[in-house]
Amino acid sequence: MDRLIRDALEAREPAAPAPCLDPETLAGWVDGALDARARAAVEAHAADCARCQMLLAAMARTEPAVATGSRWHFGGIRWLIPAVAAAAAVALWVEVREPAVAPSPGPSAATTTMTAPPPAAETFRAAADREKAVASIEAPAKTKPSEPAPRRDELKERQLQKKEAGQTLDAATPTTDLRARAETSNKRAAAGAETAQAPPAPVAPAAPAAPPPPPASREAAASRIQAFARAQLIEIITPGSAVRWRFIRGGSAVERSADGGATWQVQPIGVAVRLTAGSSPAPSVCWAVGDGGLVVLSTDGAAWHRLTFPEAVDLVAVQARDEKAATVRTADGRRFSTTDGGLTWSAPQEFPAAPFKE
Amino acid sequence: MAASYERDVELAQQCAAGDERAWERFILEYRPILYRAADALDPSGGAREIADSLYAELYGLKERGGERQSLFHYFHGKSSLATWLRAVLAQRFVDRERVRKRLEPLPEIEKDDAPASAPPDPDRSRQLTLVRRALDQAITTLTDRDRLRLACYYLQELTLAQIAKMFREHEATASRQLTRIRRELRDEVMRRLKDDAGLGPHEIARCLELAAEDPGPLDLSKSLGAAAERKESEFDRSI
Repeated sequence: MDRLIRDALEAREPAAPAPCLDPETLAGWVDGALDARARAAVEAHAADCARCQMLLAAMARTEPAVATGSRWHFGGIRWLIPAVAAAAAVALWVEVREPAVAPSPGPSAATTTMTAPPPAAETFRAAADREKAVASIEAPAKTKPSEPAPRRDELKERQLQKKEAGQTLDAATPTTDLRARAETSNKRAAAGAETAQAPPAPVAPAAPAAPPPPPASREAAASRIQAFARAQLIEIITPGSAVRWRFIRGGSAVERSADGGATWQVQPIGVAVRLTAGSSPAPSVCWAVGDGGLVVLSTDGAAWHRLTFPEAVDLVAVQARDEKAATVRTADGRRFSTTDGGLTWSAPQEFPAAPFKE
Repeated sequence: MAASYERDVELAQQCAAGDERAWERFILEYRPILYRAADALDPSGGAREIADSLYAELYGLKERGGERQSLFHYFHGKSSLATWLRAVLAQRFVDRERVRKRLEPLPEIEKDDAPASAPPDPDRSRQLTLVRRALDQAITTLTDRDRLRLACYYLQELTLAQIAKMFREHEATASRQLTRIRRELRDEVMRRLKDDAGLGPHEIARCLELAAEDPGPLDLSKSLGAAAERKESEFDRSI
């Protein structure tokens, strides 16, 4: 009977005279950002349009993975719940009562601690949040929500974070928009920075202002995140094989994996220029391009040598056919080609832009 | 435009205007998303080409009336920029696949060396036709949303988890909804067989039995093999 349903659906005449969904409407539907009328119109069209059904399916398949976590089984520690609740109530009571107990206008370490939480810690946590969000975005898309449950300490951390954001923990309704998570983390980071720069609270006017976070640590956190993101940014897959290449250390070194990304071997490229793109037409061949006209090539899957490029222009893309032929694209849209392994390069051509199909 | 997408629109406008710092931010934040999406569409890396080609269009290398024609001009903040980029990528990918499938030669019909089977039973074929017609009509009575659910499950072969995400509901809800739709379809088919075709309870049962037995023109072993590989929770597929 399932087959009959499938057959019947396949045999249905396309009854969708309206134009197909444009990417923005489609994205709005996926994000749940359309009003009821627009949503209904999208569903009415997509219900009978094979192309839009394929589009929706493609969107579903490219949905970023979220570590939703399975339900936390309290099991043997159920008895801890009231104890934790009582402890939280006591802590809250102490926190609320503290200013009244210590009304002294003089500088007090206790009030300082209460009114101005250590900004460095806040900034660090916000930075860690951002890093987590980036890591989530970087997580392989194949990860399914039903995959390994997070550790309990992670769950606790999430619970804590959600409480801070004034939300309730609901493991059954996972957040699906990673971008929103990243934004939230960024906002929190910004808020943390603002908190750090804000004057002390009026409760303790004489208290010395909390020290601003050391700029070095903020910069270090930012560069760490950036380095992490960059390290994960560019991954090159050799078609039809388990070989992968990726750029690390901000694009100044290459790693190669022969087992689909399970293990990686570092391969120095001998230059301190950032790599921006690569192309691997065969398991032992990889082309990589970077800033300032950098083109490097490996033909044995291990050693890299630099090729001469006619201009010191930033290169943003490369498409290689084999170890001899490749086309690179410059940041200003020109295209250079070689068919002799980089000994000579063809005259630059304007990169053709395909018309946008709505 | 939702307030939460204002930043995305701002970034898109800055990129469309050629702001280098905005571009740097865009590349840093969105390239991984695009690449992950491309890899999810085609794990062999074929869709990365499309992702790479998008940058040129987003940058706007063509000019019209002295103004750069950037793809970003089509983004107005109805969704997040990340989802919009995935939608554009999905559109390009689907269109390419449709063209490819259209150009693919049809498989040659194999010669049937098997001995001719017994002539079809006219009664059986009539009953199957009745079921098919009733089912087709029953599908038209479904709501758009329910038809879309069915299409996602049966034609696009999405998993329950993917359908649940798409409809912003829990996987168990998606499963219950499909069960409900199929129950409704079955009830409607039985009603139509009774009212429109004037069949009695025994004949209706026979029709449904035949429909369940009928191997049809499709090679079910392939479908079942593929279905077994699908990552989905246990789900009763019978009506």
